[in-house]
Parts: sequence; C-alpha cells; structure tokens
Amino acid sequence: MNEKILIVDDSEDIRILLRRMLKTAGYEVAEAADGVKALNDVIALSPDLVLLDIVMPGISGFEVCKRLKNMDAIADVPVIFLSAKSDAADKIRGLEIGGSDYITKPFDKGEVLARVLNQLKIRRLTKELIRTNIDLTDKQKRLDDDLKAAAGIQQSLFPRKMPDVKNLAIAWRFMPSYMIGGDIFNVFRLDESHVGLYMIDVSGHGVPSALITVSVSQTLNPDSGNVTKRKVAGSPGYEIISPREVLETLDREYPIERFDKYFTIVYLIIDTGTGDLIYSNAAHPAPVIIRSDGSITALDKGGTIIGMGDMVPFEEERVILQKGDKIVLYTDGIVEYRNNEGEYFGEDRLHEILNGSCKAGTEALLDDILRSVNDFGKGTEFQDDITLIAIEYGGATIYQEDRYADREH
Amino acid sequence: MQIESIKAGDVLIVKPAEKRIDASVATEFKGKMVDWINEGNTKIILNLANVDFIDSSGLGAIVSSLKALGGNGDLVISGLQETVMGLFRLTRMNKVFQIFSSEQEAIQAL
Repeated sequence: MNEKILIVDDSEDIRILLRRMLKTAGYEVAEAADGVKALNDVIALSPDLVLLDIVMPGISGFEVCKRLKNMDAIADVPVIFLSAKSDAADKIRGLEIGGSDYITKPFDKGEVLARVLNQLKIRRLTKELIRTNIDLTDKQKRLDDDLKAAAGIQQSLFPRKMPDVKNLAIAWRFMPSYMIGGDIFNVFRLDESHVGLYMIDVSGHGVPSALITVSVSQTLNPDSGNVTKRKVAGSPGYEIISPREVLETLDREYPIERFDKYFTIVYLIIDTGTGDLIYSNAAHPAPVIIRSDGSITALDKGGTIIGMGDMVPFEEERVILQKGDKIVLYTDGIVEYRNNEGEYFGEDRLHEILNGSCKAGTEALLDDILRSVNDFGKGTEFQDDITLIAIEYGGATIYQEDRYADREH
Repeated sequence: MQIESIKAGDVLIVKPAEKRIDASVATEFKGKMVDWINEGNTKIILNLANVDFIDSSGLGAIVSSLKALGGNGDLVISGLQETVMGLFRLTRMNKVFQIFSSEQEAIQAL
C-alpha cells in the first residue's frame, strides 16, 4: 500500500507532524505550503488524497478545493479539510464544495489516520466499481451488437422476394420484439404448380431460439434438404412430401430434449392450378381462410408441438380455395401482445379486423391489422416477434392458361 | 419461484404460487421438477390453480418435466384456469397430459 497523500498547510510544524505520522503508517507523502503551489503541483503529483488547511496566505483552502474539483484528472481525489475553524457553518461549506471529510485542529493522530484510511477505502471501492461498470457496459454493448447482428442474419432468411406466382398474391410483415426471437417463415415453389409455405415459432427467446429457426429453415429448404421434397426414380423425378409427413419428420429430428426447445409450425401446400390446399398444423395459432363472403375457417387440424416425439399423431386436412379467398397466418406474438395496461390484443380483436377487411387486398389487410395493433399498443414494445402472412387466391382458370403459355416458351 | 409441494401417499402434488409461468421462472421450475423426479417421485400432480398465464418457455418446462419422467410414471395436471386451458387446447397438450378438474380426482386416478 503506497498511496500518496498531499498535505497542504502553511504551518511547517503541522506538515512535519502529519508527514511523520503518515509515513509511519506507510503512505507516500507530498507537501505544499500554500494553495497556489498545491494547484501547480497537483497534477504532476497525482495524489490519492489531499489533506487541506483552510486559512492560508494567498488563496484559501475552500478555493483550492473548488478548483481541484474542477480539474478532470483530480476531481475524484478525496479532500479532507484540516482546520482550526470549528464552526458548523465552515464544516458544511467544506463538504458542500466537494470536501469528503472535515477534521478540526488540534487533531488526534488516531482520528486523522482513521479518516484518511476511510476515504482511501471509499476511493478504492469507487474506482473498482467504475472500472467494473465500464467493463460491463462494454460487454453489454458487444452483446447487444451481436444480438442485433444475429437478428439481421435471421431476418435475411426471410424471403427477400415472394415467388412470382400469378394466381397467388402474397404479402408479409415482420415486427421484431425488443430481443431476437424465434419466428421464421418461408414461401417457396415446390414445382411449377405447387407452393409450399410454413410459419414457425420456436419456444423461448434469444439466440438459442433464433439459431433453431436457422436450422429448421435449412431442413425445410426444398432445394437442399429432402424433407419437403425428395428425388424418386421415374418421371417427374421428385416427390412432394405431404404436410403430415413433413411434420412427422421434424418431430423426429427436433425432439425437445435436443435443444430444450420445441416449436409450433403450420405447413401448407397449395396447388395453384386447382386451389387445392393441404396443411398440417402442429399447435400453431390456426391460420384462417377468409372467404369472399366474410366467413372464416380456422386451419386447426394437425397435432401437438414439434418435439414430443410421436406422442400424438399428426393429421392433415384438404381445403379447396375459391377465387378471392384469403389465408392469413400469424404467430402468437400478435394475440399475446400486451399494452401498457396489461391487456392482451387477443384472437377476437384479430378476427374482428379480418372480418371487417375481407374485401381488402393482402397488403391492405396486413396494414389494417398493423394499424390496429399500433392503436392498441400505443408504442408499447413487442414482447415477442409478430409475423403475419396473407395470401389471396386468384382462381383456378388463370393457372391453366398460364401453364399452357409456359409450355410454349 | 414459489412452489408448494406436498406428498399425499406416493403422489407428489406440486403447486406453483406464481400467476405466470414464463421465461423468467421456466428454468427454475424445470430444475425443481427434475429434482423431484430424481428423488424418485413417479406420480406427480401439477396443480395450476394459481396460474393464469403460461408462455412458450413455461410450457416447454412442463413438457420437459414429463419427458424427464421418461415413461416411468405420470405427470398429470389439475386446476387449470380457463386461459391456460385455452393454451393446452391450442397446443393439444390436453392429448399429451391427463387433465383433472380437482386434485382429489387426480389422486384417485393415479
């Protein structure tokens, strides 16, 4: 322990006394006989504590203290006043202008040492705290940056451009929560007449959930994996896997024990030529079909969450789409969105908008939903990711003509 | 996280005192359940009477507890509030877990 103490006192006797005392106690000691010298030397000396007399020729101790507290490099060095002025008013003034303590002369050696020790200890702890705080802020910033980058990477997996399918109008919206989440979706061509579409919500939040979305989206990629589409002998050389089988494969591949996470998924295959829709829903909030007459059908056939490992079989259902029918898919982030009053957005509110906007196009429909969410939340941060997809079916005949046209090219 | 646990014969009744089982308590909840299972409890009733919200992390913790039993025993649920029952229906957990309206019924069934 070699902390340095600067003694500022015009009395040589007192300086000698203090120096002897402090040196014996193991401190390094510097001295100044007046305020001007103290202010001149203080930066070079860089003391850990200043013992400061008040009544001195030239500038007073109060003034010295004020100026020390205005020097960036010295401001946090504790100043203990050591003065014969024993009025409460002087003590208060000393403490008000930044002094850490006040000792009256004649002083007791033991008291001076104890107070010096105290102030040095506070300074040491404060320094440690500041250093730890800087480290933590630094680490936190790096983590935040990483999270932002991870969220950006995750979002880069979203379809940049919807497949250009003439009789399907597709729109989507994604609103990230305050932290990276576990939503992912994709719309892709399985072949000339079939479009595959999934929406997934991995349990929990944060990087682990987000990483699983990356893994699952790769597994479901029709071009690289064999889960949604596989090669077979004979024409046309591939087979499109049914939604039920896709979900069964995922259920085997992603048991909850593997990552301590599960996910919900709804997977749909639309035959754009005939309007045939086959889907299976693994505990995902049911997508709805809004018919042109405003009636709503929930797509709720399927099974339980992915990860249970064959505990409950998956079902699939076929639905025929008519011209003008719209399918809306969403994650529970929207129905479980809470405003400042703790009220949930809820499924009823969502269905009400869907009902009211049944004539709107897909883009306008999603805008209506988002506007309602914003009116409801009044800027409350999203607790969970919100993903929305809307698809409108343009009817069967268009496709037949198109296919014919395609063949001629 | 506050969880009451009472032994009724060879049945362990576990009753969370929290209103929410969410990400903030899920890990702790699962840890406690796994401890009880490792202590040899095979018949467990999870009484959710106090719980009015379970998020995906919370549900994951409950499912993981069932998985931790590894087929050697049973984890059943009682006292579901309507909101939580909704979640169980949506996720079809009502097909995975046996659900009883009261602790008494659950004890008799086990």
